[in-house]
Amino acid sequence: MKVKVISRSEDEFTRERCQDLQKVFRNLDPKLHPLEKAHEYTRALNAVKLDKVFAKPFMGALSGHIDAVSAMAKNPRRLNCFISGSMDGEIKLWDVAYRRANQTLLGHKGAVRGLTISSDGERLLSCGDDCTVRIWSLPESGMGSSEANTTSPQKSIACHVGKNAFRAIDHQWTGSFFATAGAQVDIWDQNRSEPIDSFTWGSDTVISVRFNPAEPEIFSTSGSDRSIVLYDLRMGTPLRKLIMQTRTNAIAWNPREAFNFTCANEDCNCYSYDMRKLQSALCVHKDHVSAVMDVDFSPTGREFVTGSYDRTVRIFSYNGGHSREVYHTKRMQRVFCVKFSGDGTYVLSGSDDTNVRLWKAKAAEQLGVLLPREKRKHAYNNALTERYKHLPEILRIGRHRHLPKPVYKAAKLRRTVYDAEKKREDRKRAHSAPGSVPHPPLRKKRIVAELE
Amino acid sequence: MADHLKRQSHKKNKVSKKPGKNIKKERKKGPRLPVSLYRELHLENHHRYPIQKESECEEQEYEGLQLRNSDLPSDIYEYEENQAPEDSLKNHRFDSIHSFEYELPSNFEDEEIDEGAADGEERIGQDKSSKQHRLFSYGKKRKATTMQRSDDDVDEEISSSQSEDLDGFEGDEFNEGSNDEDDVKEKSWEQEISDPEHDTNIEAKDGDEDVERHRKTVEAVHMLHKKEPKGMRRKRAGILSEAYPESEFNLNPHGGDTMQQITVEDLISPLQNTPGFGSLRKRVQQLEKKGSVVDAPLPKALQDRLNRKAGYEKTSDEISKWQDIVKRNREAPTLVFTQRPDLTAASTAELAAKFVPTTNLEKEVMELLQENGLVESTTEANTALGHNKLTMDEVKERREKLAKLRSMLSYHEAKAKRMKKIKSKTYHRLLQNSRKGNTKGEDLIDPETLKEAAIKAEFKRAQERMTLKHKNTSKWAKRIIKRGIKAKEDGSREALADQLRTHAALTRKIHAIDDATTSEESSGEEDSETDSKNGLSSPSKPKTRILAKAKIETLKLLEGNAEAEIPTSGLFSLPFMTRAIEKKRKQAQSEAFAVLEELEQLENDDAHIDQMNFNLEKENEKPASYGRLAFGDMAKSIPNLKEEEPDMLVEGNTSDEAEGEDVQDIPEFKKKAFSSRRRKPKDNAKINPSGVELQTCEKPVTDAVWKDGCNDLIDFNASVEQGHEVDNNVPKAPDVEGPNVPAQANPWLYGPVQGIEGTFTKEKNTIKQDTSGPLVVSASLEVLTSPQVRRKRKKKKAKTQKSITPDKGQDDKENERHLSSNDSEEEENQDVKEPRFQLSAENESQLELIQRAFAGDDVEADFQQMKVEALNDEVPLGESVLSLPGWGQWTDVQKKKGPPQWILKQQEELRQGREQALSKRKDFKMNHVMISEKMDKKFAKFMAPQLPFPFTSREIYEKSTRMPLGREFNTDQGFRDLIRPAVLKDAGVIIDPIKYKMSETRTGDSLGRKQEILKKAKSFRSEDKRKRSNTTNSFVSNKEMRQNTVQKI
Repeated sequence: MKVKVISRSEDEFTRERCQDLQKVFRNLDPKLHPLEKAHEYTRALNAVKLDKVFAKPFMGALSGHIDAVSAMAKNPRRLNCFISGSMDGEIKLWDVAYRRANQTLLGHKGAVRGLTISSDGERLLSCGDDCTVRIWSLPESGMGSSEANTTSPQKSIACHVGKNAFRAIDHQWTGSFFATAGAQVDIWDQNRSEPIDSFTWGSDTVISVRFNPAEPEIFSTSGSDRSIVLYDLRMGTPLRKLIMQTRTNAIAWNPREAFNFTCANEDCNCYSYDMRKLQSALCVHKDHVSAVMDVDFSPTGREFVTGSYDRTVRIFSYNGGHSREVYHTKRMQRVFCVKFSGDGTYVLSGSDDTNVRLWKAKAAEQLGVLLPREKRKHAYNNALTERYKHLPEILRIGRHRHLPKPVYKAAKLRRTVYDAEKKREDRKRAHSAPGSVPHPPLRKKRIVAELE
Repeated sequence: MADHLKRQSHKKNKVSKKPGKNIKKERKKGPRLPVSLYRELHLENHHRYPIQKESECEEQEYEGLQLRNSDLPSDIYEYEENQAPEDSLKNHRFDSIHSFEYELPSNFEDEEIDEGAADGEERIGQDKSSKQHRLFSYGKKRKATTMQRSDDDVDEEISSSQSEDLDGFEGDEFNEGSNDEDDVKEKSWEQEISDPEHDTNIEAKDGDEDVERHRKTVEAVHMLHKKEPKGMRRKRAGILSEAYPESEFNLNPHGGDTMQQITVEDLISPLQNTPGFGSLRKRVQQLEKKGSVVDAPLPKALQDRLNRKAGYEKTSDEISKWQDIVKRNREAPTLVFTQRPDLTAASTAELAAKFVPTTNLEKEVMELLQENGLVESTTEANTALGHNKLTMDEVKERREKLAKLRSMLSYHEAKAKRMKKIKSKTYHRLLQNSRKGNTKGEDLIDPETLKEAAIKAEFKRAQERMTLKHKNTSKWAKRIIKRGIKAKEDGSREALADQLRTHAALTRKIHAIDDATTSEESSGEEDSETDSKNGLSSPSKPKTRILAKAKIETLKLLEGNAEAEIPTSGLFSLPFMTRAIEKKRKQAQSEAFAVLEELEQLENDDAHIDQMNFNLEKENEKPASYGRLAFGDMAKSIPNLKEEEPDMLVEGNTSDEAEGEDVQDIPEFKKKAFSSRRRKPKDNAKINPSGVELQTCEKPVTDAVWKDGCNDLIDFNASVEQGHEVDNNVPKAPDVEGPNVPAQANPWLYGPVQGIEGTFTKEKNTIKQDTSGPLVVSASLEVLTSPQVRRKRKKKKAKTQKSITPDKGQDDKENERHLSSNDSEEEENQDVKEPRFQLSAENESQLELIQRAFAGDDVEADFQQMKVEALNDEVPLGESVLSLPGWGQWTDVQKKKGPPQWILKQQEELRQGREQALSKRKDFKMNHVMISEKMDKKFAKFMAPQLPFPFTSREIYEKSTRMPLGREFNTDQGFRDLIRPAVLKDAGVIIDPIKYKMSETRTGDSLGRKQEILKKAKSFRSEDKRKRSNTTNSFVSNKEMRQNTVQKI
């Protein structure tokens, strides 16, 4: 006679500690788990709702400036080293963890227009309306220390005077050069008092400059002549000029895709370009309702943050036409500068209301140390929402955002205007000879010319 | 501007060539040198050119001085050796000019630049002037002001400011570039010439010694060869332009005086006496002749544009190196930016070695340790370990050894693989035997022992042969046998058998390996192979053996057929299917019987041996196989068809078909039934007896037999039409229609064929009938002919009056192409002879059969009913009051009256509404199609309203969401893989921008491809498993499937 007994090896079921979780054995036989899709759909729905519940992106405001924040810089070497400059010429070094200013650097007579930190993380470079470029040395490790540095205000270690006001400054990601923009583009060496090179193409003011993180010799500028110009230090010449219908306020290179960059345009959109194919944008990122003032890529290269004149900060996917997230507060005014933190977890925005604000890059992300189970749970929830995001209910809940009334109205108005234009064009097309009214894609529509 | 300069220079050249005529222009004024200097120069010239007159020398010297710093090229100033004295005298005329003050020419205009000239040209002009200016300013140690010369106004300003220092000389410089008219030009030239003179003069004071030195070196070079420099003919460059290097340091451009320039000729003249000098000089001359004029530089704007263009292209190219990396990262399922802990952590010893005491306590401890020698011991051990190094030789040796081992391993692996691949059973048998032998005699490796063993074995064998010891000749054996077999116990019986076996082994002839070891495992295939080989090798062997074999095969087949069981499940278990299978089996049996009969006949017949041998040669190439006979296409399609519906299985009595004529002569008729195609019998045609070739692959034995018969017949009546003869030959029974002996007339097969052959209208009818049925039936028959066939038919005007013309020419062509691609080879290469059939009587039987096969299976009606049900389901009539019990039937009166008007009206409305709704349906007019238009509102939330962006088809999207993600449905690893986020990063870890590595096999970002593949494979596997185990588990998937599906029957 055969007797069946349940046999369990003691080793498999004995926990090392009493806190350890009991091992759970699952029968994966699908027959035992019917309706799995319905189950998961419900879970996805719950997950997306929970995301809404936990969406608390605002971390805090760094207040201390007495004028609008005009420029910000993050340290490529240290995470907690964050600097902002204001319109009154003040530069503040922030201890982000404690949300207070460690140091205030005084020296600029006019507005600070550009801030950047050298590739080794030791020097701070600033430029401003007072026609000077100042170099400051950053405290070694004091940035993260708890006690605020209240010693006598530091003086710049170098001050280079130019002929014209500087509008922007950026340092190479590797190397010792930095570039300033103003009446022309100047290339400086940290150790020299005169620019080692300067570029001009056209006579309009250059308003922003940004180096390519992956290719340290390549950089691009945007000018008030609505142009975007690419440069290569090795070639010693500008490479190409792209003229758009409206001005580009800022440019950010994708740190993971060396040839792609995104520019914040005055026409409320951001445009991503491949520097090799400037005939058409790769993607048009629409959602802002006023000029986009600044753009910065996440170090993961998968998303970027934009600050706009419409008092909102938005986060876009690198290839998404619409924003993933929109941040705003009642008190936040025009946003002049935005930055992604070095670890891609936080977003900082400097605005007209003299505050620098710290946001989470993912609104519902749980911060702090997570247990592995928690991590898995979050990952599972995210995977579920990702999978079912196309289903109507989940799509609706996931996409819903509360917007300030003016922004909402402006968006609506823009939509109306856009629709009206489209309708007009359609009618025009319908009443013209076929093919006579072309159908230019938006990616090409806003490009005026590509100059060699 | 450049052209202008060129012209100018040409002019100057011309002028300089004719010094006699235009000497006026050529006179140069130099600055006043100090008398002492003159004297010295004078003296020197005397030394050098004693023949020359003083004045000339002076003149030349002046020139030299003047021109050393001037920007005019050297060739303007030519040294003419035989200058007429009057010419030289003429020169004096210009000496009278004493004023070196610059005076503007009367018609001078400051800005004479062509307004139409390009921007670039203007810039060149500016450049030039700026250069010249620099030239001077250097001498005067003035700061360069070239930067500010953006326009002429500035120029003027500067020049005026400088004129204070330079006595107004510079003013001219700026005008020089803009001079256009000839007279102005001349004047400016003069002035220009005089200017540098003045300037250099000043400089000469400082650098007297330099000049001297230079002169000396030049002289030294000249003195290298004896020849006087007078005799030298110098080539003049054809152009005057800004030909000197543009540098403010170059104050002594090559356009100096004639004497002080070292030319190529100067350098090569010392080689005059050396061999090969002539060719060298020739080459130099050629070079000079060919030396092309360098074009003037392009306008700056254009230059810049070109530069930018080139730069952009270069940079674009260069940055494209990222393309692959970017692509990979974009496609990677996960980007990993987390910091991986350095798992190559140091050992404790390593840590201890690195440890440096910092605090006081640590220092104290360290001291104590050192005092006790504890620290040193560890370090000693470390050092000992460190010293314990392998020498180079040892390492080499080790590596070689390892390499050898590795290679051996791989060699053996490869060998084993190769051996494993060999399919021959004989080979494996032999191999096994040899291995057995090896294992037996493993210890007998050396030849001595081997030999001994061989001798021993031989001895034993000999002994056995002589004594027959093992042939049950022993007493024991005899006794047992005597006692009777039945009485034998098991053990003794075995022992007896054993003995007999040993005997056999010992007396066996050694070479007879094949025969002895052929065991049961050897397949019939092999047997037939060897048999056929034997047959080939020894044609004298009796045919009877083959025939016998064939017989056995047939019998086997018969048995097998009888035993084969009918499937009890699946499609084949359906009643009509089983019936069909049964029928077929019977048919096959009857065929087999027929073949058997024939075989017996042939066994008696010995007259065909020669022909058979001839035929066998071809057939033996292919092994025989079990199963039904099949020819050509059929042979291919049968294995597939077996899995398909059996009623579609078209099977022929192939022996019937295998007779025919040359394909070239005979049009062929093809029929396609679903996937299978088969050959149709042909029209009558002449037989080419010599061309009789049969190529059938299956069952060669029977074929051979059959062919034998054919050939016989051909021999007998060669002139007779083949078809009839074949019919005769094959044991056919046209009158017998019973299920037992359909023989070649397989109604399944040849019903329609018959129609084609005999009465075509019938065929058409059948087709029509078919098409009138549901889709299944209509698709079952597709008859077509090739145009060739038609042609041939018309030509021959044989029995068949009509050829089948397919409905559409297009279809015909298409099918033809399709068929030809499949069949052409066989048709062309294989000359298949097919017999003619006369089976007109059996057409009905075929139809009958079909009808019988589908007797209880009214597909059409079933479908209609299904559709009606579905429609009722999807479009219900709606509830009318009448359907409620009791309504309108309260009283007898009501009952008599029937339902009231309003109820009837309502019903009518409902009916009409339903009809309307039905008429709107897609499948309203499609009799054989049912399209579900059911919309499940509850299920709508599980459906995406439109296909999401990255997906291209609905199927792919559904597939992507089919696999559940949760833990309940997946293994732990599968779960982790499925939920891994697209970007993995840690808070607080700085993510650096991407860095380019040459070997980007594995970027830090993407999990390796391998992992990706593994993941995919895993998910597919589990999905597959789910599918297999669970076909109807979830309402969701079922509903989904039901949704919007188009049912087609």
